[in-house]
Amino acid sequence: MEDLKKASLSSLSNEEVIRLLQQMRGRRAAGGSAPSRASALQEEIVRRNVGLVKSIALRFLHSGEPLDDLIQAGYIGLLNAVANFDLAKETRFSTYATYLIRGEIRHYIRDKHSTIRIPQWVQTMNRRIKETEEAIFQETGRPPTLAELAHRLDLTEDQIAALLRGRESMTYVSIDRDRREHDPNPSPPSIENLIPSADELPHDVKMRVLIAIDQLSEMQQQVIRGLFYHGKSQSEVGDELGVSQRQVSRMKNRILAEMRDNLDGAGEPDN
Amino acid sequence: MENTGAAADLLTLITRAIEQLQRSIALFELSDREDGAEHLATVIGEIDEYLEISDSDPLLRLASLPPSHVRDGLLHVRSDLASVIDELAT
Repeated sequence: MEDLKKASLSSLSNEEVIRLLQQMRGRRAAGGSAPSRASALQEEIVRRNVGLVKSIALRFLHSGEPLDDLIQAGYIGLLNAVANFDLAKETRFSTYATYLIRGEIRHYIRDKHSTIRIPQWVQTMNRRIKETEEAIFQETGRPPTLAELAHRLDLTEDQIAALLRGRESMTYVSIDRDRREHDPNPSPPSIENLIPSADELPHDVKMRVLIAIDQLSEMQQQVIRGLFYHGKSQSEVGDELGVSQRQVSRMKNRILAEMRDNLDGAGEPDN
Repeated sequence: MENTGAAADLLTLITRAIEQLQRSIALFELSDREDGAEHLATVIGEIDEYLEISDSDPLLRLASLPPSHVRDGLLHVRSDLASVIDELAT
């Protein structure tokens, strides 16, 4: 516990966090009375990263959720980072923790906002389609074909197909619901999972790029993924997004400048 | 990616309008007012075309939506979009 006594209340440097994590894991592995000391070390690491959790939670205030709740969700990410940080990788703890804290806060917001209000007229339409499906099933003893439904409802098959697709999409499913149903506290992704090709750049740089991409809008992410991850041309990305090649080029420049600012600036508090 | 022909039903119109508005917002973020406004104008065009055939939209019947109610709502949206385009032009 000497290190704890020495450490001030300011945030820990990366080296200090790693040293505490090594001690914590060593004591857990030792058994006996050591695990309770390990818990004290874990608490200390968490306490010293409260600022990181708060700063990230503040960025999600626009969700309308109370700050305290966002911070609580962020703590889960921080605890996961403490438990799963790979000491062998040359990644800053704060970079990995930032990614997991953001993920947990997003998961929390997704859960809270999972109730989508469906307009009355769409509900009416869906009810009538369902009634027609059931009527045809009663008559024929089998589910109706698209053609049968279309004929009975006086719509085209394309329209019916679109309506059925829409009905499915109204069943909101969190992408990791299945994972969390089987294990309420699933293991967070490892650094290797997050960045499979770890050759050319240091892990830490790749993690920071991943976080910077995560902060972009949906459309901006499509541009970056299309150009740099899928090797598409600017024209191809433009076709997909319905904008010109020239506009994609300008978007790319702007997005890269934005990402550069995020990476250079206070994208995350530094330990 | 560009759609051809009038949207045959309200849901298609809404889907196309959302796509155009997303593009428009992305262009405004790039300070590309002219091209952003062009996408807004496309939405107005889509609404105009749909309004010509809205009385025969089978989805309105299925959803028990009065065509006059839909028409009023779309004209309201149209007017708002036109105001934005006007403001951008000045």
